[in-house]
Amino acid sequence: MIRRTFLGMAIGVMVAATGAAVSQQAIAASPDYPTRPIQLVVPFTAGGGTDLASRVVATYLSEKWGKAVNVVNRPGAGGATGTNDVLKGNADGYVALAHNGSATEALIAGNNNLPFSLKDYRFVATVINEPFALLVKADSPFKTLKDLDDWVKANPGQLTFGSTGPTSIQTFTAIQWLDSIGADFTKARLVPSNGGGELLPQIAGGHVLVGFQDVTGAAPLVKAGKLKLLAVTGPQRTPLFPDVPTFAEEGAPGVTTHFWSGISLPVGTPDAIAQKWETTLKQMMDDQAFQAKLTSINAQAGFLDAAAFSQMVNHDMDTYKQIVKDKALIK
Amino acid sequence: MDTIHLLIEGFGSALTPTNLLMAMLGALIGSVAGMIPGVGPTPAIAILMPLTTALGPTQGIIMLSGIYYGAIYGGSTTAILLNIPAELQAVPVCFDGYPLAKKGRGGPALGIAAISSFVAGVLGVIGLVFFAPLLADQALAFGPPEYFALMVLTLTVIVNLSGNSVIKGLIMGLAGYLLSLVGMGPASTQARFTFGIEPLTAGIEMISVIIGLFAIAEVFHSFGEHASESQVPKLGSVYPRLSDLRDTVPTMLRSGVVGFLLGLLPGCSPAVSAFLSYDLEKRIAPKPEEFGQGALRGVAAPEAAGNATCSAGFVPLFTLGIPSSPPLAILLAGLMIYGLQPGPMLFDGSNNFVWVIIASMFIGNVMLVVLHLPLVGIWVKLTQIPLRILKPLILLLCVVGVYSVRNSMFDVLVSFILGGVGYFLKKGKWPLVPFILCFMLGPLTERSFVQSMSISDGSFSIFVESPIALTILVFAAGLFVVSIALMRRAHIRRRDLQLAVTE
Repeated sequence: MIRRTFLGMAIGVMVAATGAAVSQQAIAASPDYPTRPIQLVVPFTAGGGTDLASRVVATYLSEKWGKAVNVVNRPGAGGATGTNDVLKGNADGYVALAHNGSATEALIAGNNNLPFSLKDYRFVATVINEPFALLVKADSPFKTLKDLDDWVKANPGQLTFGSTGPTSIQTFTAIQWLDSIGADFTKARLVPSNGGGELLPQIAGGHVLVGFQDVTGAAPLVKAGKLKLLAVTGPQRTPLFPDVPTFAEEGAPGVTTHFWSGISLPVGTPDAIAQKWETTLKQMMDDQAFQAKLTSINAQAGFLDAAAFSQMVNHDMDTYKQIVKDKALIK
Repeated sequence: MDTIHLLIEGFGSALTPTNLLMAMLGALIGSVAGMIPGVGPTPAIAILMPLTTALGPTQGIIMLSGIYYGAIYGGSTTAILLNIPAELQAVPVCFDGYPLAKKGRGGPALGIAAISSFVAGVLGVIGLVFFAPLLADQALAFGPPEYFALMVLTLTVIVNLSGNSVIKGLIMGLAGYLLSLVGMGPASTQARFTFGIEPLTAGIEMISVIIGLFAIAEVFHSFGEHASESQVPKLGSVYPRLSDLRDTVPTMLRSGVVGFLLGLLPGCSPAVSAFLSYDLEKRIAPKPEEFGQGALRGVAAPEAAGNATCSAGFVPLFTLGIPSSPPLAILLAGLMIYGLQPGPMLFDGSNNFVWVIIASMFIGNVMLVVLHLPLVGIWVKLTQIPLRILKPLILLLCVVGVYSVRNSMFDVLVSFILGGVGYFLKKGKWPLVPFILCFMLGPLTERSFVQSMSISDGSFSIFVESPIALTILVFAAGLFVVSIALMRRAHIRRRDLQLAVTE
């Protein structure tokens, strides 16, 4: 209650300032939704990649719908806290979830005792979809992925890689890569970190040998000349760094992890509302101004509609579950 | 020379009446947000970001930097006047700020805090302009073993801030560390010490602990007293005496530099430098016994150091794109939307916009001082509110603040439980500072230790092989031994004195 008053006041100021343009733009596809402010829950602390992208999305939706869409950070337990709150809350379309692969299929694959599963989501659309990049420090002796592959195979037990945990997407990426080149994952040393903000300087400073990071997160340090990318995951190169080859091109096929950020609602949300979200997000992705904003924060737009989104998450989930099982990552 | 020329051009673009108004608005909004426990810069910047994008780049940036500096400074107001730190780095400001306010010198304390914050902000801007690319590279030399050593050094502060009993201080420190272990540990999928209580898997939030132990416990404490006792008397003039300034300016500069250097490390929080600087000043002061009784230096040191650390955060932000705190991450996104790409080439002169930003930061700092000196009149009114009205109001703000961090009612419950615990600890003269210090340092200490062990494959030699880590650790050990020795001597002298008196 109290928070709502406080936020409401601030948002009131915000909406008033954005002015008349807002109310005029409020076209009515399904006339009575939304009739009040919407919460977009981010299950992480403010300032991360998914949080920043959600803020750009929330700004667009607020203008489009003429009702405030407020980003609410509800971090904890790798995203499980905020996710559970949304999925088990009211399915009326007024509380939505902004999430990513770390807090969805990787989280569920790595935990046997979570209070929710993929069945509790009504997937709406992805906004960002981009590869992970293998990073080393800029003046590292490894010029190509093959250099690194040879060194890893010749020096078992010497590879250190940063990761947020034993069942994180970074760890899954490391496993796919090492399996693919025939190196022993169990000999690699995981350096636990609490995210890119901590890990990237550790790689740049030469304390940790390699890391895997979404291209967006890595871009500033790469552009600053402190890190270099040896390869990107997935089937295609990234337009942000077109010179960097894929793992497959470098002779390491099967590294399929990727970073996505998207929006979902709790299962049971009325179809009309979920479809309105999907349609509006599609329009947003075609909007030039929105695209420019994403580009300016180095994010790579990647739209998947509800069906494709759901299929992608389920496919990734099977892959990660298999890795967890094969490597016995959890008891 | 070229740099100065560019900077002057930056000021040229930044100094317009509209921009000054934006700076003032930003500083005002930020200060108010900073005063509310638990709110601080992150939500203020996050909520107002869309508004500032509507304003256009220069005005938007000026307003955001005003909010940022204002929110950082705002915390000291409630610390000094009400003994309530709105954030961790304001905890050491309470040590002397509140005693000063009780003595009727709240005005000068607020004035010194504002000036310290200004000095720190300006030092930060100067450091950013002239040394940024150079310093950012040095900061990268700090890896896990170096951070671990720095945490150990900070822990030695406990000895000096334990009050009468080092043993009690160490016990409290250990308790704080144990509490910080609750929740997910590094590199594990299992939550620890949750006793089956679901919300504890997410760990205990720092703000709940600070607000509980300091703010709520303080309110409980004052319910037990006669209402008039803890009320702050007249504030006095906000303009410090010349002698006050002479006394505190060296402290501001020293603490500002210490805070700035520590702030170059992305993992170092402003609270660490605030505590370390307070400790440093207490050690080198001619009359260390004045600290804790209302020494202006005790206000200047943590304020200058904490704020310099926040300002220094712009160095890794601009040169490497590494945000050292959530508000800076949001600020970075804002700057990038306006067309700023972080990197060393930012300062080579090809980008005029960065100089506008730097000039805006400077203006934001000036505005803060200009704004706050007259605002003290309003704070005077605030302290004259009868306690029976003020205290429930504070409790309400505490609830808002704690809740807003993670939007969790459980956190509010935790803060009230800790408020009750804090009340009894206070009564029993158990020092709360070591507790909060260890709670704060616990996660980073543990993580950097585990990281070091993973990098070295389990060999402790990593802490000795790194020259930086070794130096810091030796220094910390020396400090610990000297502190204990000095304490014993003071203790023996006191006992001898008492014996002499009784004889």
